[in-house]
Amino acid sequence: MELHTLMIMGIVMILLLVAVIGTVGKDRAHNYDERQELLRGRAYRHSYTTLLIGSGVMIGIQELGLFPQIKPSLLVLAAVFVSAGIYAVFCIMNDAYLGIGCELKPMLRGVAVLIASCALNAYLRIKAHGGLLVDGKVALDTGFFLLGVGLFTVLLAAIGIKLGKQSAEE
Amino acid sequence: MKNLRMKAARVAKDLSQQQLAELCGVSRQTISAIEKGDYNPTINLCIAICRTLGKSLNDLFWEE
Repeated sequence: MELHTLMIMGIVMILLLVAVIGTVGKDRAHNYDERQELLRGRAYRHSYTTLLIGSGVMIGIQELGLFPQIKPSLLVLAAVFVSAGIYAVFCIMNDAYLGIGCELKPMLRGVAVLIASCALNAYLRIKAHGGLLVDGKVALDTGFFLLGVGLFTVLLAAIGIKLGKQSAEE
Repeated sequence: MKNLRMKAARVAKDLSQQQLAELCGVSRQTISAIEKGDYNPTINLCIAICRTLGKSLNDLFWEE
C-alpha cells in the first residue's frame, strides 16, 4: 500500500476518533468538574511546552547525527510520548484523572494490562525481526511498543506514588 | 487554609465526601481539596455546596 494512502487512512482514523470522543464527551457533560478542568488545562500547557521543546531537541539530535541507530520518526514519536506522559502524570498527581470521578485502583489495573500488552508486542516484533535493530536501526513498530512500555511504566509509578500518599492521609 | 466549617457542616448532615460530591455534581477529590484548602471553588460551586448543606455563603466561606 502506498505511503500517502496510509497517511490518508491515518488522518481519517484520527478524525473518526475525535468524533467518537466528542460524542462521548457530550454525554458526560453533566459530570463537569471545574477543578479537574482547570488542572487539565494546566497539564495541557505543560504538555504543549514539553512537545515544543522536545521537538526542537529531537531536530537538534537529528541534525547533529546523534543516536544514528534510532530512526528520526521514532525520535519524533518519543517527543510525543514524553509530552503525553507529562500530561498524564500531572493529572494523576493533582487528582485530575483522565475521566471525571475516575478512581486510581481501576486505573492501576488498566495501565498494568497496557504495559503487558506493549511488552508482548515489542517482544513479538523483536522476535519477528530477529533482533532489536533492522538495517542498523531500531524498527518503528518495535520502537513504538518500547516507548509504550516506558510511558505506561511511568504512569504506573505515578499512580503507585499517589495511592501511597492517599493511604498515608487516610 | 483548611475549611473546617464546611467539613463540620458536611459531617453534621451525615454525608461522606463522595455523597456531597455527587449531590453537588463534582468529584470526591474536589470536595476533599476544598476542605483541605488546596482549591478555591468558583461562586457557582460554593452556592451548590451551601444549598446542599443548608448553609449560607457567609457560614461556610467568609473569612473574618
